Amino acid sequence: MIKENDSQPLLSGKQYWKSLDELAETSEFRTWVDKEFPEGAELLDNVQRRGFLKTMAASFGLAGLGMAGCRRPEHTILPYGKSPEELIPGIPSFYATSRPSPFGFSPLIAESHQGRPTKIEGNPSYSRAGGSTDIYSQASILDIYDPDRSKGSFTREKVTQGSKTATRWKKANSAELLTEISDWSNAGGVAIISDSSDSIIRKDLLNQLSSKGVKHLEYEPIDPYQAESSLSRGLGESQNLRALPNLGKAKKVLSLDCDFLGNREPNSIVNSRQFMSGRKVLKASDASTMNRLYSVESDLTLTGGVADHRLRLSSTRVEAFAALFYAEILTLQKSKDGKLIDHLLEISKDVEVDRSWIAECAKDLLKKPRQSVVLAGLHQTQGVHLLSLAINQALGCIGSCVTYLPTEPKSSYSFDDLSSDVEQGRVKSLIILGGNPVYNCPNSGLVDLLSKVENSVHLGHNLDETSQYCDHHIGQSHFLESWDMGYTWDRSCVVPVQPLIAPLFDTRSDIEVLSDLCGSTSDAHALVLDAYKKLNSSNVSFEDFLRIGVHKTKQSFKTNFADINGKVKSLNPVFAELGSSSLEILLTPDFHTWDGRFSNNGWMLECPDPISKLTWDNALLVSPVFAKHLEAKHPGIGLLPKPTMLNKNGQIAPDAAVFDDGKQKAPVITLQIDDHHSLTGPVYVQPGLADYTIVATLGFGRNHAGRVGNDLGYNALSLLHTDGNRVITNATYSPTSEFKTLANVQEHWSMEGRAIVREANADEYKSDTSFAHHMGAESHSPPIYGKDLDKDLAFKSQTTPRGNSSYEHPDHNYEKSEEHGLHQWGMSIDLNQCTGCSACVVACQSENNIPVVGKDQVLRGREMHWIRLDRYFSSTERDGAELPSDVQVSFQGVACMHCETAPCETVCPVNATVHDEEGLNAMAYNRCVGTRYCANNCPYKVRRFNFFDWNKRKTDDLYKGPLGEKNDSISAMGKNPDVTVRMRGVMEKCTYCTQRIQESKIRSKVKAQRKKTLESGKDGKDLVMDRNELKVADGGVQTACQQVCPTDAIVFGDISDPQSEVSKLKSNPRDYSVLGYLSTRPRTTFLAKVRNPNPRMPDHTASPHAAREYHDKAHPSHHGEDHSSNH
Amino acid sequence: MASDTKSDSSVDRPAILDKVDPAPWHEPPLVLNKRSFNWVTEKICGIVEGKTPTWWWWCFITSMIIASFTGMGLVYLVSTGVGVWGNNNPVNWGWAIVNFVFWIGIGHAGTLISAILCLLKQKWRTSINRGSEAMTVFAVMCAGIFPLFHVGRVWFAWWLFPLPNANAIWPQFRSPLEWDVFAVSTYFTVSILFWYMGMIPDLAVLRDRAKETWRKYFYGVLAMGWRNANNHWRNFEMAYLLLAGLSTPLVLSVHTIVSFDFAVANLPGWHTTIFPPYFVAGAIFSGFGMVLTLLLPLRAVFGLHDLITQTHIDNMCKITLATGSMVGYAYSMEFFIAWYGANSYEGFAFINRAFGNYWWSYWIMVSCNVICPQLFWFKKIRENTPLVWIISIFVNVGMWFERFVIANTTLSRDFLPSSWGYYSPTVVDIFTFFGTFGFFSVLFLLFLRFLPLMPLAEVKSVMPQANPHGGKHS
Repeated sequence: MIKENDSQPLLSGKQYWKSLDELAETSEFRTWVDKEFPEGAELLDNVQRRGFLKTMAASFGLAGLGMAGCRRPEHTILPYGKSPEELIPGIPSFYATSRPSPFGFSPLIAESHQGRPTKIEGNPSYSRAGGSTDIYSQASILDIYDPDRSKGSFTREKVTQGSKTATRWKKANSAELLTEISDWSNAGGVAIISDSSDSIIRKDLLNQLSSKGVKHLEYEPIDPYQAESSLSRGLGESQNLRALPNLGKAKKVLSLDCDFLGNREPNSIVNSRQFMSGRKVLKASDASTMNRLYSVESDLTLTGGVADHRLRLSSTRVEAFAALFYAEILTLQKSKDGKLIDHLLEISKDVEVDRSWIAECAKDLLKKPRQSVVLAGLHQTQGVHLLSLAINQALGCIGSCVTYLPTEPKSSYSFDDLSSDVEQGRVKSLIILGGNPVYNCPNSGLVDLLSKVENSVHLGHNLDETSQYCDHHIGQSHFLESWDMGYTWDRSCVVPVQPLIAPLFDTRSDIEVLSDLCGSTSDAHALVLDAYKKLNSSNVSFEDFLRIGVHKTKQSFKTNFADINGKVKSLNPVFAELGSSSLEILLTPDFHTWDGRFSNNGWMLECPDPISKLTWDNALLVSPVFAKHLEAKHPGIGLLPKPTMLNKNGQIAPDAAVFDDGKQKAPVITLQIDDHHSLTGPVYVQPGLADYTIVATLGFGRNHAGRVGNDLGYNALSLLHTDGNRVITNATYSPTSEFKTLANVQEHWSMEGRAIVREANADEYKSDTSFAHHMGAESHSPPIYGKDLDKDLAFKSQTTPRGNSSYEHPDHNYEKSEEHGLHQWGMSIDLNQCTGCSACVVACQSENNIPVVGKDQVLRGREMHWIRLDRYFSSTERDGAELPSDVQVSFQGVACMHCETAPCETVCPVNATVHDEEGLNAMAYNRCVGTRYCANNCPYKVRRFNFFDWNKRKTDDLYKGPLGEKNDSISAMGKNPDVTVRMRGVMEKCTYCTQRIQESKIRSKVKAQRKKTLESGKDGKDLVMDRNELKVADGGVQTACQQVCPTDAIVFGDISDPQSEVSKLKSNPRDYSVLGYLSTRPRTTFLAKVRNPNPRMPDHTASPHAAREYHDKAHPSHHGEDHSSNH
Repeated sequence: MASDTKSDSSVDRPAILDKVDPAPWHEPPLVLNKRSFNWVTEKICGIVEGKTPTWWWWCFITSMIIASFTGMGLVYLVSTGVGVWGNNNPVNWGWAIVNFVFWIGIGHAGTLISAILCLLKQKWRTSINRGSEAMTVFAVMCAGIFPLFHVGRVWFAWWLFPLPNANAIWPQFRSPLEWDVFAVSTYFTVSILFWYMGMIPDLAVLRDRAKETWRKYFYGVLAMGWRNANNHWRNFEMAYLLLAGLSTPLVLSVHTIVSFDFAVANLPGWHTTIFPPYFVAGAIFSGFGMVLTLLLPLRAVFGLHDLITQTHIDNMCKITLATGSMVGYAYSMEFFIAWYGANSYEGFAFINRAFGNYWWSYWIMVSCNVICPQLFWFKKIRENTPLVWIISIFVNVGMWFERFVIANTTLSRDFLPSSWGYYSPTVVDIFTFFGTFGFFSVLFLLFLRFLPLMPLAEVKSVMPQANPHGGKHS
């Protein structure tokens, strides 16, 4: 078969490859392949990598030439002929871009290593977010390297083989497919279903198309415009009214089922940043000006976790609460509108709410009414939105704490309209632009419509549920591969979407598809450029716009609302009955997948839900009261913990749910809703829920999400109707006999009275700012500071070893020693600033190449996160095995503490974990043999072991060892090249982002040397640098967790510099070390939490529950006494 | 009166002494039925020289099959990753270290019997010392498997040895695991030396009696030219004494250092000063348990009742009783100190041991280690050989659970409740451990077949005939 080559009779390896290349082209070879591998032959035409390799491997073997392949693979490296601008190999470049989401465009800076995007950060030019991002933006970078994303376009074709027919996807050329779609458009009868977007370009293009008669339907399962449109409808306005809180100015906030700090509401990053800055307490006087949050909610959200007072109330009852609250405000303001008050009291009379709670809360808000604000949840009723607007107007905070931005309403074209258009033949072709409506809106009848239309195409991230019903599929470009431009949620800025890389595959973005439909010849870049020119009144060039990434726009707010009270008077809500046989179901976007868009994103699935701590699944969250009811009615369901032998005073306390051998066994129940819909899912008992509310999350239970996200959790979307209503009443339940194992990363919810998260109320803090020092085992040993006892705190925190004794102690004051490190790194985490948003967890994962291990491994306790968010509940009702209903939530981010006297270092037999001179507890992966002794001896349990080759093997194949399939190589593209990818058998943990430290040290050194050379005129050997000149300026290094944190809870820096921010925070009296009594001298210390409850509220306690638990345990003799003052 | 007596005594023997008739001290014979020297030689050599019994083959094949479980488990482990075991983040050690401490503990009885009892001139040790030394060597071999293979990258385990290398990286000499490397390897070396050296005269006997050529060469090489010469014996006895002196501290040091793996760590429930003596007592306890478990069936199978007498069994039972009680004392002292120390983490750790998620393992441990051996107070029970054997099995089980309790309850619930977890072994864990019993049995069966089970000369030296005074002082 091989033609003899006379000139080179001997086939050496190199020529062998060449010959085979030629061989593949010969007609003999073709005939032979056709004969031998009839099903492989077509692969030669339409070459696919795997198929090609398979065929070639087989042919090599059969040709008897296999052995010739035994040599090193050769790679061709092509140097740049002309170096791209500003590109230095090994040095990443950064581009401003933004992520389109239903809640507007998030301004971002993306890091690129030789053209590969590797990390996303917030754009600091968007000052409201201050360079921070939310967890979804962090995780979105993984989607570009999703091995399951569509690698081009596909067309469905029918294949007949004998008597069997099957449909399959045939690879198509995107450009050809788009031409075909343009033909449909020209023929007329086209409707577009799209997800929602604040894109200016898309809007222009859609306008052009609609003038051509193309229908457009916009659909989102979590309708971002629900609140603003219902408010405008309530007021009878033509434009939507978007409530934009300005929480930096608010001192008292009442949230009406509004998770403004969490994932349920838009703009959570800006909200968190503004609101939490009002909770910074660094000195006693700050406690007086600290803001206060009242939260009324049915689900326990992050906002509820931060709240100083939290009222559990079913979502359907919130309208009654709002009415009562408004009535109370009016009464307190001595309003003359008696009719209004009567009406408000009348409509809410059937609902039981703690009136004293309302009265005291209203009084508190009215103390400084212009600095108080009421916020209503997106999913709440029109009444709640109207009432909150009315209350805000009564308070007089509109314009200061909250503004109302008129926005254009979305198109009114609905699924019903579409349906009738299809029925009557007015629509023949359906173009689905992004989104996944078949999955997201099962009640729209879309599947039916898709079977009726002549043509259908879906632009999507992968061949998902919607694609399965379409004739064609076009792969959608990731936003890091596309051009676009749009508004941020608050409409204060226009931001660009700038590609960092040409599309990896033959994919298209939504605006490319639309512009093709319009028949436009200009590419996406030109469209953005044009649109920017139209928009721009200033003289900032397009290039500068791309560099800055933000273009400020003018906003005009609505301040006058005529006759709200008149509208309020016409409110007449009906409250459905609530009880164990008529439950309320609240549908919320899932933390992990949001509405399903992150279903195939391993980072998101493995990042524990901040409140429930569940990974890889969603559950039906039920209240302890309902759980008790279930348990009584269906014994053996095993929902509630059995009483243990010791449960007084937080000894062996019951777990939040039943953990069988460390695995949570959740009973599965079915919920029925009167309109024949039902929902089956595992039950998770969640303290803090309204008694008869069940929280179901949207975004799970997908079957075409990809290999990662298929068949996880349950699908709650069948309950969601096209009207977008997410609160459902009159649900009944029936238990099944099944159980499901849930992967919960935190088995134990109680702090067990240990001084881990130290808390005090603002009043306590005012009288004793160093309350944290009077807690914990170290406070019981008087000479804890030894000879430094009388030194000031700043000195002690930076130099004195905890547990100092009169004996000689190793000196850790490296900064005094010339031969030691230039800097001494340390971190301060302000527990008062952490909302639990978990963005740090994913940011760290992205920065440090942390692998995803999968549900099975999480169940075995092998999750790999370097930083974890510990979530503790504490309660007043801590009696026996009872699960509390009302809880306070405490979050604590725990990563390697970089102990100065690190317990892990002394036990490592091979010296693989050692201290560096700048105070880092370094981990030499190369040296690690994996005895895991360090992890055992770490009191904080922050070390993570590579039990398997997580990075190399597919998650399903871990147990197959060397026989298991290897990971797709595409995922390697997203890895940070500055961080080692760890192999199995080695330990890993937080390094304080040592790669970032090194990078900025080098940068500072180069800069300092350059400056000195210029100043002194000396160079090379003659240039003598002073140590201090080489130091990195404060803030010059940001760890990944610090950078992403919207509330600046994490501060990192040089503690040997007393002027650095971290040193200042560490000398704050709130600073303490967790488990300080062990004398590990952690470099990461915490600032104790301060809550700000209102002493007049009925649920007020003198100390936070966690502090009371600690004092009860530390001083059992004082049990029951008041510990409000320091002991 | 007092002065009277004094003056009397200065003159003469006290009268009272004549009236005293001391009860005769019956030193029980260590070889019964007045056996002759030749009988002993024939008996012991007969085991090695006779035809291989069928039961031996069955046991050998079964043991090989069981041992292969360890082999397969380790191949899977090394090729795939430590994840095939049940270890997880709070419980990073799991069964591997439990098994290591268990086997190394068993390995204590042999050297204790041959060294400490030798120095204390306990003549009864002669019948049992060879078997227990063999047990020691094989148990340490089983033990060694676990710390070696529990590491994530076995192929780099040699980094634990202080070998000079280009990077000038030395092991961490502060790490108890590093101390383990030295302690265990020293112990293993000395144990092997001791065992082999003690065997030389007996190997010479086997060589001299050998009929087949391969035996002549096999035992000839092993006997190292022993000619039974007087200076051979003089050197032998001196060397034996020196090795006994050398091994005595090792008996105490090895388990002390193994206990440091836990005691030097800072975890509540591990970080206690009581660990070294408590671990050594536990090791001797489990070692004697295992000696009883092994020798009682051998005694029955080979008809060694005249050599391993009731006196031997009694003595071993009493040591088991004593060390078992010590261990029980340690258990209660741990609770006392946890309470007395007033450290809430420490207090929780012990309450959690008894009543927490692993309560069952704690109570198995207490019943097997503390309650069971108390039965040895009763002579009737000590004389009931099957019952002694069953109790010895309980001792072994109990001591495995002791290590399980120490290693796992502490790790599963330590300082921060957020990271609490639960550990369960996988099939691979179970099979790998189970297989080591096969591995041990294979070695022990080979020992039975090819090496003398008892030291002939030493046994003969404690026989009544060996005493020129016929056992009576005059």
